[in-house]
Amino acid sequence: MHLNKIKLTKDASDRLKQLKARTGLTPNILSRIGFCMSLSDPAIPDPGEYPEEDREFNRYTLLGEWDALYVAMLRQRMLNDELPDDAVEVDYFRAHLNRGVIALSRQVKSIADLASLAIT
Amino acid sequence: MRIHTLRLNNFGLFRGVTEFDLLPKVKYNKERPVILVGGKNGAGKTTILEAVRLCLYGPLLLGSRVSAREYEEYLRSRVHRNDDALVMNTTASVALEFEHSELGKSHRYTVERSWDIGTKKIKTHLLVQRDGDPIDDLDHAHADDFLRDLIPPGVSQLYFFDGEKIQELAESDDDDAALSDAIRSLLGLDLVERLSGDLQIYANRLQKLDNIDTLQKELDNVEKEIQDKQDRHLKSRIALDEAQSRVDDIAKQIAATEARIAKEGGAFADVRGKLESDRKRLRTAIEDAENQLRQLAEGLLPFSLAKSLCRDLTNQLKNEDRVQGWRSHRTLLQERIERLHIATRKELAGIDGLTDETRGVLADRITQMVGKLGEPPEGLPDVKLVHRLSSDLKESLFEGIRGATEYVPDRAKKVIGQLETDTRDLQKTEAALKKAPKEDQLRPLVERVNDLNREIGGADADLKRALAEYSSAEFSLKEERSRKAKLTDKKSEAEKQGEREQMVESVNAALEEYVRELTADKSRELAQCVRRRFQQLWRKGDIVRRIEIDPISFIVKLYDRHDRVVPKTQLSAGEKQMYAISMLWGLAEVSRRPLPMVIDTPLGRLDGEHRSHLVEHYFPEASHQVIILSTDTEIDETYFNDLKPHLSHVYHLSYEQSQGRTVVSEGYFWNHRNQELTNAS
Repeated sequence: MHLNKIKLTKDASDRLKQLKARTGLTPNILSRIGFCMSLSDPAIPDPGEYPEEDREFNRYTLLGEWDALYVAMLRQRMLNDELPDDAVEVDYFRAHLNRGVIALSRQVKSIADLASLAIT
Repeated sequence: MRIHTLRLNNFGLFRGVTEFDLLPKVKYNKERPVILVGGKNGAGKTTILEAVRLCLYGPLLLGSRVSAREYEEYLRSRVHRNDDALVMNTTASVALEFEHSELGKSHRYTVERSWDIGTKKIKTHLLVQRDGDPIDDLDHAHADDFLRDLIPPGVSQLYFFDGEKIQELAESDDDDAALSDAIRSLLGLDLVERLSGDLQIYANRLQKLDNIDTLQKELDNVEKEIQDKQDRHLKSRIALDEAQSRVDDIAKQIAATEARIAKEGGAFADVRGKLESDRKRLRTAIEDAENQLRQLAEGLLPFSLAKSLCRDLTNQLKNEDRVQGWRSHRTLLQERIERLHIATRKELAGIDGLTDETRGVLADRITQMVGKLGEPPEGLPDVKLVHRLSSDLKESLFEGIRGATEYVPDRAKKVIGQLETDTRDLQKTEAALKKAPKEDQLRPLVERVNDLNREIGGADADLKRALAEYSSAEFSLKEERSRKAKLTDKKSEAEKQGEREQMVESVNAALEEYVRELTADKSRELAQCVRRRFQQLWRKGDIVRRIEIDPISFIVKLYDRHDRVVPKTQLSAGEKQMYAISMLWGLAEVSRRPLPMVIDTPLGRLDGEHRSHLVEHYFPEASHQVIILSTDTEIDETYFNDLKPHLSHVYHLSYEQSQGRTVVSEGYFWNHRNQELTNAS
């Protein structure tokens, strides 16, 4: 996947700030969680809905030591979704990330809320 | 200064050790200053003058800018060659022993330079002794300087010279250049010029510092800044004190109220204490639990949110593994099947009793059966390869997935369970703390404590702010003060620098004036000396009545008895030579250094009339020690007799062609004849 830097929408960036205040977690960690949350949502996101606007991450900060697993998960999801061959991975990566962050901010009020998402 | 001996060892034409006793002897109660060394051309007279110079000046004998290589070449060339010797001699030395007075004390010095050319690099050695002991406060590097200061090279040319020098001075139409050099080094003016040059370098090296006015302006600004900062500092101090006393005040009230509560309802206070410690413990536990959850979140927890996709990924990776495995096997298999097919046909052809038809059928059958081996195994999944990962990476992904689906949920569950219990307990504890005690009379006191506790929280926050403001004010005040200190230093440095610059200027001015006055003085003195000596040497010398030397251009003007300028070109050749010698003599006299004279072939181009002037009037009076190196045609028998009353002793150098060396004997060219005459009479 060709990804060095990624930019979020303004909405997602704002929500990350709120989430940080509620959970005490840094935006990159919150983004990882949001990303995986979106992967578990069966609806296919539309990359067109998430323009590049505000906060920017570089790849290493964002994905950390499990980079390869995140990429593999995205590919698996795209395979499951039977997307056409010309679907661009980076676009779907960004779509899941934005969508996940927004969903996360709707559900999570505290670190305990967040952790309980991992149990079910 | 008085030279005692000059010792040459394998130097030039002199083989082995040759020692010249050069100390003037006393005869008939009168010291006789002249030592005469006679020798024909090529006998080694000049070598003697050279040896004296080499002793005193080392490399400088060859000029002021001589390279170490040139000096070594010179030393190499000056080692005596003895073609008869079996072993080549490689060492040589020259040594000068003299008496020199300094600070009213007379010392005996020995200066010896020796060298060895036997090695690839010449080894040179300089030995300086005073009264028989090595000069202890003089290390080797400074020995040369010491000798140079004893008799500066510039001065030495007035004392150690040859006929060429006289000729040069006599024949040059403008003697001011040569004269200027001589006078400058004579007066030590070259030293003054060097000093003035060094001062210039010093002045240039003085840092260009900031202008004092600019610094003062900056200082004024800083001063104002400090005033402001001090005000701020003071105000923040007062605010801090106020905030502190408010906190203290409230704390005191709390203590007092709690004391009353304790007094009036001890039991309640005990319970309260326990509740408070519980609350603290629970808060810590909750914080701990939350931190543990955060740690999980920073690790594999995100993947726990997509467990089902994790399972899909695991399956896909395993399937891809099998497909990839099969594919690599299949290539190998197909190759083998192909080989088997060929082998089968060959084998069947070797079996007798079969028809070709049967062979064909059998071969097809076998190929068909074997071909089945190349078909994919049953249950090989039909998957698209999307990941294509190495087995190492796959293993690590499996491990991550296991962590995310098993360990993380398990751990999170436990921590959340504990967290929920602790949170509930904390809520209960806090509620209990808020509850007023049952005793009605304590309720207002407890409420008061609660109020005061809230109030002290606010006051504490104020105090923290005040403290922060105070520290910041203090820091900026300190910063401003250190800026002031730096500027003050800079300013005083600039002031000192200014003083130094002025000092350089005034020293330079003083030096200039010193040089001017000294030169004028000495020029006058020199002019008088030269005139006196000229008249002494040249009885008809009254064609020159007066001499003037310009102290700036060093142009010499001669005046006759009608006080008219006599151009130097109008002097006869003899007069010019006399004038040149007068000049040398005058310069030596003005230098006021009691140095011996060494004069090499002085009469070379002089005609007879003038020679007698020198012999009679110059040689005996030129110095307390006059060493004359002469040929037999210069100081001939007549002059020898004229000189005799002043002669201390005489050496004769003769070059022995057959031996390739110079032999030294006492006496002059016609010594034997003289002795015979003496004997006869």
